[in-house]
Order: sequence, then structure tokens, then C-alpha cells
Amino acid sequence: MQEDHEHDIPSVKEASAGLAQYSVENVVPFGPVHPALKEPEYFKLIIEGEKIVDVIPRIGYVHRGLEKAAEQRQWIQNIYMFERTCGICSFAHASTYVQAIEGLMMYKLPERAKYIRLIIAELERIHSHLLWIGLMGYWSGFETLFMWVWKDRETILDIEEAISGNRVHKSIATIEGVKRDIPEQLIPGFVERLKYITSRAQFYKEIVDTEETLLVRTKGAGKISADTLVKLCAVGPLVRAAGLAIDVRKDDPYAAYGDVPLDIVTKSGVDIHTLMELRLEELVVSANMVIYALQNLPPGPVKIRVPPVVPKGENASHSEAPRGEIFYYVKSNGGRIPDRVKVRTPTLANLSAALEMLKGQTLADVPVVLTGIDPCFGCMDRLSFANNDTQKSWRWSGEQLRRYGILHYFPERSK
Amino acid sequence: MTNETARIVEALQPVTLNKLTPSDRFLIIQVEPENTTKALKIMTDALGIKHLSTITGQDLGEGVCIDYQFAEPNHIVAVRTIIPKTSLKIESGTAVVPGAILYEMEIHDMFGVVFEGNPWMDRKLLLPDNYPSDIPPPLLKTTSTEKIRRAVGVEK
Repeated sequence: MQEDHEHDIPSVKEASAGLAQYSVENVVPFGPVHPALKEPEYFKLIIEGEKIVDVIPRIGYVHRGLEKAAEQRQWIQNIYMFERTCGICSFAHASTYVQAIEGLMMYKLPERAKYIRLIIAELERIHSHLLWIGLMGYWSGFETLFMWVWKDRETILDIEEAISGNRVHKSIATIEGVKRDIPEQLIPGFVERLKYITSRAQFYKEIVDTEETLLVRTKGAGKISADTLVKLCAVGPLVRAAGLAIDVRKDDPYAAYGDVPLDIVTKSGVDIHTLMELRLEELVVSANMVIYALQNLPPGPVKIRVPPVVPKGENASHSEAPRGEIFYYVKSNGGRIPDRVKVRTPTLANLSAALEMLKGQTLADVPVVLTGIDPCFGCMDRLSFANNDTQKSWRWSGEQLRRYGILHYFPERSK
Repeated sequence: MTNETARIVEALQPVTLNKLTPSDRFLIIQVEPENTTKALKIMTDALGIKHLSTITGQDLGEGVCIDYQFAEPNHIVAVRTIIPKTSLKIESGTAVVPGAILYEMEIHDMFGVVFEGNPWMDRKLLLPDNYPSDIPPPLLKTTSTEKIRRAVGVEK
């Protein structure tokens, strides 16, 4: 069967890329469909015994070509498309994109809009961090934590729904403003719920520091040095856990970040345990920022009406999403449609670091360490085969694999 | 121009071909393709700007423009180079900035630029495996969406 298909498949050379120096029994394909991956992503893990010595990634299974699509849509339409880049940090994408456009326009963003952007961005950080803590509990075999945390996360989603009308895709960012105001009468209720989240975060912190199940799985897993992280241009909580106070909110303040008190949380060394502690502490800082912003919300309009054309020029913008720096580059020819929009998400920046973190780990730690960077990817590949004797490797499509399965159990059907 | 941007402009002076300042927060220094690695070295070693945010490619018609965008407190600095479509080749920056590896693979997939010295130029990162080799890379302006959809089998 292998001889038949070796020539059918165009990407034989690619399937074997990087594998030549390894023998077949050392390669463990991980993903793209794997219980430990919530989204599709494929890793070839090269192992020695139980230890991982090298990792070869393959991404792009949910690549939809947004950058190409953006060149055929109007500036305003693109806000809602880029918001859908991510189902968790949707506002971070939309707001960074509009910030890049605002840099090309000569208006002054209303103060109230700045504060509302900060509030939504920080609420998003709280619920994203909670989601991650829950997943970490899940992968380390502590499902109760997962259920507790995800229940508390609903509190934040409720606040977001009350403000914007939506739980995830809030569609609240727009060029030179936000689309909805926060009604004054809702603020005391929000503050109360945020205080509840703060107290829950303290409780989770205690659990993370004392619960045996978590400590065994997370302490010492996924270590990486600060130097390596800088070399690999990593971003977000990962670098802050290594002790570097790098945060776009402080380094290059946008929205109302210059006005609202912000503490950058850092730790002294990366492993999954410090990442959990860091995210729990960051979440409390964010909750306090939202409370401050809600109580000091400046009066005034939330939006300026602007024409649908963007002046000719180019601009780049970045902001701190829950997973790290998001980067947008836009270029306008002066029309209604962008000439080029470039998006760089934090997971791509952290992927090289994740590969480093996996090296030296055991196979059983892969889900925990991979989840450690809070990845946000997508899926669909095929099986990879390698033949040690002939030094060849090839792939089967889903159909070929299905046929093989049927023939294995029912050889008579081959006739 | 702030002190910080003035320092960057001065350090990159020997390799600079053109300087653009679209806004006070965004600085672009254009260099010759063969000087790109040199410029990256000045950025990381002499200036200590080590965080490469991303590499952006764009199709300018006769050439492909590649921006190495570095994020710094309060501004973004881009090292820009334009390579002709007749020979889409450039020296890889991975020796200077190891974090550039995946961004270079992305440009390779989307614009067909070959980064000489990048160890992973032999494989795809984002494009589907069945993306035909006779269709030009997807982000070039000459490649229409319909062509891509037909090529990967989404449309007939």
C-alpha cells in the first residue's frame, strides 16, 4: 500500500522535512486532532525514551486568509472581521486595529471612550485568565477547579453582556470611539461582582499554592530562561513570569492606560506554577483597574462621527492582549478599502518559546506545558509515516487512512 | 523627533537609504536588501532593541517590501527593504534575531520570498498542503481570491 501512494501525494518532501536525522520509532505525531488540544495544531515530537528532544511544528489548520479578505472589505467592515480572529480576546483585536486607523486620522479620541476601552480590555483579560486557570486544572487532573473557575468566569461574561449586549464578540470598538456607553445605574452592581471575583482569586491562589495534584504537575514543568525568551521575542505573561517587566500597557500606553494605576506583576522564573500564580495576581490587578475606571468614568460623548475613508498613509499599532502583545500594521491608499492589513497574534510570537519549553519534558507533560503559553490555534492535518530502512516518509489523506482501516479489519473487501 | 528616535536614526545612518516618519510614534528606515542583516545587527547589538514584534510583507507591484518591525517604549521602528520580484531572495535574519524564524516562514508562504539561511524554508507553515506550486503565493496582489479558492478546492 505504501508504494502505491508514495507518488500520489505532492508533499512527501515536506512531510519528511526535518525528520531525516531521526529514526521512525522516535517520532510521535501529536495532533492536530488530539484530546489535549482544543484547537488544531500539529507537532512532531522527537522522543528518546519518555523525554522529548526536539519538536517540529505545523500550524495553519484554521488559517482563513483574513489578511487577504481585509483587502476586499471596507475599513468599518474589517473591524468586525478582525474581531473574529479570536474567540476570547476579540476586543483586543478590534481595538488594536482601530487604534492603527486612528493614528492615520486627525481626531482626538473622547476621554470617556478611552476609559470604556480600558474597562472592556481588562474585563477580557480577567475572563481569559480565568479560562486558562480552569484549563490548567483540567489538564492536571483537577476538574473541580475547572468547574469552579468557569462558573466564576460567567460573572465577567455577564458584565460584558450588560455593557455590550454580547458575551464574547462584543463589537463595541469603532473608529474614534466605542459604540455603547455604560449606564451609570449599572456601575455599583459591576463593582460588587468584581470584588467577588477578587475574593475568589485569593481562594484560587491558596489552592494553586497548596493543592498536591496541581503542585506535582506544574512545579518545574516547562522551564525556560529569560535570555531565551528575549532571543525568541516572546511576549505577555510568559516574559513577565521570567522577571521582565515588559507590558505594552506600561511601555506604550494606549486608551486610558496612562491615567489608571497599573501594577506590573512579575515572577522570578518561568514554570507552569509561576504562570498560574502570575495570572491570578494579574487578574486582581485588572479587577482593581476596572473598579477604578468605573468609579472615575469621565463624562462626555463616547464617539466622534468620522467619514468612511481613511487618509493615505501607513501606521502600526500594538496593545497588550491577555496572551501578550498584539500587533497590527495598516496601509491606506486614501480610499474606503485598506491596501494592506497585517496581524500578528501573541501565540505566534510565543510558539518558538513553547517549542523550547517542551524540550526535556516527558511525553505526559505535553498537554500541561503546551497549555502553559495559553495557546490559541486551529486544526486539520494527516498522518505522517517514516520508514527507517529507506529513509523515506509519506502521508496518507483521511480517505486513504479510512480505506486502510477498513481493509485491516475486512481484508476481503479489497477485491 | 524624540531623543530615542534620533539615537536610532543616527546609529542606522551608515546603512540608511531612506527615512520615513509616518507619525511621531512610527519610524521607518529603508535599507538595501544586502544591508538588512547589518541593520538588524545594529538594532539588536548596538541599540539593544531586541524585541522584534513581527515581519510584515507587502506587494508593491514591482517588488515585495519587507518590514522588520521592532517595538520600543513609546514607538515602533521598522527596518524596511524592498526586493525585486525577479529575484525574491534575501538573507535570513534568524542568525541575528532567532525569534524571526516563524515570521520569515509566514512571508515565505504568503509572498514566496526565500530567506537564505532560515533552516525551515523547506516546509509550509500556514498554507494548506494541497496549495499548488503553479499558483502564485496568495498575498500577492495578482493572485485573486477566486483563484485561491479554486486551487484549494473550496470552489469549482
